[in-house]
Amino acid sequence: MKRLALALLATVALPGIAHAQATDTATADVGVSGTVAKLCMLGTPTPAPVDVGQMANTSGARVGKIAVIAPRVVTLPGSFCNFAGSAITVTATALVSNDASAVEPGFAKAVNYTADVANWAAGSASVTTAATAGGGSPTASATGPTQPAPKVADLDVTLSNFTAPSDFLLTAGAYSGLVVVKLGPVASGGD
Amino acid sequence: MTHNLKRLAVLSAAAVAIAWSGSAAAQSSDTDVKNFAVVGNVPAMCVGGTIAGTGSTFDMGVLIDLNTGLLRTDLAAPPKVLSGSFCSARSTITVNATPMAAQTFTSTPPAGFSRVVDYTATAAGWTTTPASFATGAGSNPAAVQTRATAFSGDITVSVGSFSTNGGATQRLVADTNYQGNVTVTLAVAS
Amino acid sequence: MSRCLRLETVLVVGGLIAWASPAFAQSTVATKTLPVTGNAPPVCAVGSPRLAAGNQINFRGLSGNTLQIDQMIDPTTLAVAAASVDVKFDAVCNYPHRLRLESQNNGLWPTLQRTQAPAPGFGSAVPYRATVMWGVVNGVLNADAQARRVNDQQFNIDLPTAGEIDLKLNIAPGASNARDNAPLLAGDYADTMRIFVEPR
Repeated sequence: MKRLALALLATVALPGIAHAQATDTATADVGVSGTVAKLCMLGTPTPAPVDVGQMANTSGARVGKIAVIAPRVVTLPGSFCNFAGSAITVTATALVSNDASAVEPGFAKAVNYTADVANWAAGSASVTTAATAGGGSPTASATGPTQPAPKVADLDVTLSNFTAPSDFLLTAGAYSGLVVVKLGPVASGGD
Repeated sequence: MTHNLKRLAVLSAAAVAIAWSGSAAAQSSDTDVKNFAVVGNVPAMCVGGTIAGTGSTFDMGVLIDLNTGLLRTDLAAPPKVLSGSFCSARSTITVNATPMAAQTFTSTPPAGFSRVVDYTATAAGWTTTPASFATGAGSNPAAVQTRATAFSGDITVSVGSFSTNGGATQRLVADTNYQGNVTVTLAVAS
Repeated sequence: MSRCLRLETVLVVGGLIAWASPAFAQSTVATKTLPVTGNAPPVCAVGSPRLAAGNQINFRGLSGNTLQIDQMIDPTTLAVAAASVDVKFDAVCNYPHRLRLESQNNGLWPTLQRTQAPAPGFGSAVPYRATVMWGVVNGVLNADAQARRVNDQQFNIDLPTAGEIDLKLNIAPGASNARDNAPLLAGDYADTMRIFVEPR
């Protein structure tokens, strides 16, 4: 026990009290109080950015249409909230062609997908984009279930289910989209 | 002794809390937002369609008037449709044609005769102005046409305006096989 | 345990990543070939005869398809008078072929068949000479009138030919199937010449 008391004193390094001994005869009470703020932190997305590569078939019966794209996982390691009652909100923007021109009949300039954030609460926060063939309404958002206790976890964001609106042919070019993950108290709503 | 330890523990916790908030002075929010980009690409490509039913050959049949030996003036064939062609980017359509030439009689014909029939091939439906190529013309500027956007659609190919190479008074040498070829090319444009 | 400061700016990385794989280069161009075929059958055609101007001697002309001799005999000697005529036919053969010249009677023979032998010293048929020019051919048919029969000549032509068949008929003065200058028996005399352009 004596040894333990001495170790604590070394860590804190408060002068004066360090010299206290088990046999001292004079004591005084000092009240100290402090507040721990509510805090959430998300880990840095890794690996990022995500390049799904070529998205259209170049041969076969589905030539020109969306290819099968394997799911991708991005991890936000060591994410945490130090309070109870937090939730993940995920906002995904479909992959839309960087070419601003209007799309021809039978073609799409957007690729939709599902973003699923797991490992925070009992269930995942999941959203599927619903962009139109012309690239309209590219963004969708959803909030996951509440995490009832403080938690530290590696969040996994899985991107999957890549589809083209109406399964149209895809116009050529570079496409870009965005995934935004927000971690915060359940009541906060928007940011 | 236990009481002192308890007090020490309280002080330790408080000290830790104070130290902590000092180093995180730049952010103290109950919400954090992180994002990452998702990118991909679609290659520029052109895919040719298929011709349904009738096959890809324009068979003009008997080319000459059997009474005069001269080229018939009523040569005509129904057009053919290439369905399901598309380009995912800006493209050009090019028509090329080689004249119908006698395949067995390959030597120079005697005076008054020809072994070549000229014609015009046209590809319509891809561009505002159809692409066309006349085999007897010195140049064919309309043979290449550009489409500024991605496109998917039918291309109608037709042949017409048949004429005897060398003049309308020349007769065709007898040959069971006169043949030329029309080629239609879709290519991604830069 | 320490944590670093985080940035809240958006990280967007765009740009096309080039794919150099040859498989993709192939699909930037699509070509379809459509053959155009036909055939020119072997054809020979011969048009109607027409007289070549200026080459007539002692012929009245062409009436339909009949060449009419003006004056068959010299009225003082009753021997055959000279006559010649040049007839042309537009013709075409678009393949290697044959020209055949046929005399039905082998000379001008009486249109009425005689049942008896002709009187001695008289001629009873008129020989003549036919020359034909067509493309590379320059041929002769001698209708010698020695016997009444079909007499023909064939000429092979290796090339497709288009142009005029030029037929010249020439009756020499005094021609006869008896001795030269024999008088000719009275009556109508005729022959039919046929020109065939045909496969070999």
